Amino acid sequence: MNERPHNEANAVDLYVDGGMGPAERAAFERRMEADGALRAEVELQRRIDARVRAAMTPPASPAPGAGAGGPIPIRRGRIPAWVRVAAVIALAAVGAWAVAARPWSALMRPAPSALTADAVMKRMVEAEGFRPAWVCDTDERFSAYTKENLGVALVGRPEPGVELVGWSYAGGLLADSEKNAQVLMVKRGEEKILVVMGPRRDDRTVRLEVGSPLHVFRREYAGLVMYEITPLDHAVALESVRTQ
Amino acid sequence: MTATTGPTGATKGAPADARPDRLGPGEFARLYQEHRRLLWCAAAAVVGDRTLAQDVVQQAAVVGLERLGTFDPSTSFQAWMIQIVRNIGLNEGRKRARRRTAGADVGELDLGAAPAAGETGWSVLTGTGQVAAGTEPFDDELMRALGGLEETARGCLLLRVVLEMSYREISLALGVPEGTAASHVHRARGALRRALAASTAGGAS
Repeated sequence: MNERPHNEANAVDLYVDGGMGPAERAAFERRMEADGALRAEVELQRRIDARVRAAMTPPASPAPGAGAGGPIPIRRGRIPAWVRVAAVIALAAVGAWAVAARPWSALMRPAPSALTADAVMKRMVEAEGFRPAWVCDTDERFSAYTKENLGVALVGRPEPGVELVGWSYAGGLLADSEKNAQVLMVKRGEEKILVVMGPRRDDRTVRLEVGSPLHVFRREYAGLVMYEITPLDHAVALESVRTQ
Repeated sequence: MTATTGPTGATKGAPADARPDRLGPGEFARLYQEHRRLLWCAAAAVVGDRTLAQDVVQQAAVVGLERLGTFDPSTSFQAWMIQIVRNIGLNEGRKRARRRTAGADVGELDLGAAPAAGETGWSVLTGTGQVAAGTEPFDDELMRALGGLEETARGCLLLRVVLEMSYREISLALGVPEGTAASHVHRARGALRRALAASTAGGAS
């Protein structure tokens, strides 16, 4: 692409943004008809804008009554094949060592979570208004959502007086801070309760702050680990989900 | 304590036009939701990764709540929160750079570390995780070029292209003069066009 004068380059932006008046726009389009390079530049800018939007549009805003939900962004694998092969070999070696040396007895207790339950509850209730990102209003949607995000199709069966509000997600509780855990938002009366779920391999000991008014209850089920974070002194939501 | 209100809704004993000197958690929640997309873009401009941007915005919400007492409601909420987002994003970038140095994160790079030659500073991700056929090499080049922009220019560009904000709005959000915001966007777009045109020409030959 040849370097265009500054004003002309700005004109491309102005045209693409729809910022020209009718006369200016018509004149620019006449120039484009005669200048293939200019036309290509405009097309390139439109393509760039479209791809930037596709890659960098924020996730849907959490809102009450939001639909069953689009997919959560998924990382596209970009690890070269040789790295994967090396990783398999390394894992095999570590596995053999683990069988021989039995080091896991020291690792039975999961590492502590990066964030405290208090911080996550504070964010979801106070900062975000306890509004879910996804609401699954039928068993089919609930099942499809959990299958996609947890790998297990679950249905919601809350006890009387308990309401499954919807789903959100939080980093820093299970796995590491860069991986989001699914969070089922639950209400019993005015009490707001969170059930954090993830694969059992992502288990972390969910921490409470000193003097926290909250309680944490744990359940393992269907290959998942679940933590209920609640102001109540007993769990009311952990048994609210089950496989079909 | 129960506050009583008069017919106009003003609290008794306080001037009707008095501005609150502190922001309450409820109002914080409302403003946070109102600016969430903007904060996400600001985070993405710093860290260059969708998932990490989401984490940064979530962390910023917690930090913002904790520091609510330091916020002056007569000033710009979005500028205050963007500063928090930016600081957290830069910290996260540094953490990732350290992890990357240790070889722990093979597939991702961050803007806190200078990308090696031939590597992209940004991961290529779309909103759905799906990449349209034929767009991958173009996207790779695009993300590499985006990663090469100066952070403020990248922020201006994202707010303009993704959120379709006016230069005036970008100026208020990022605390740069309106003309500077426009210059950043024009220059950034020009740089991307040059990079992509060169890449397309190189790939075609």
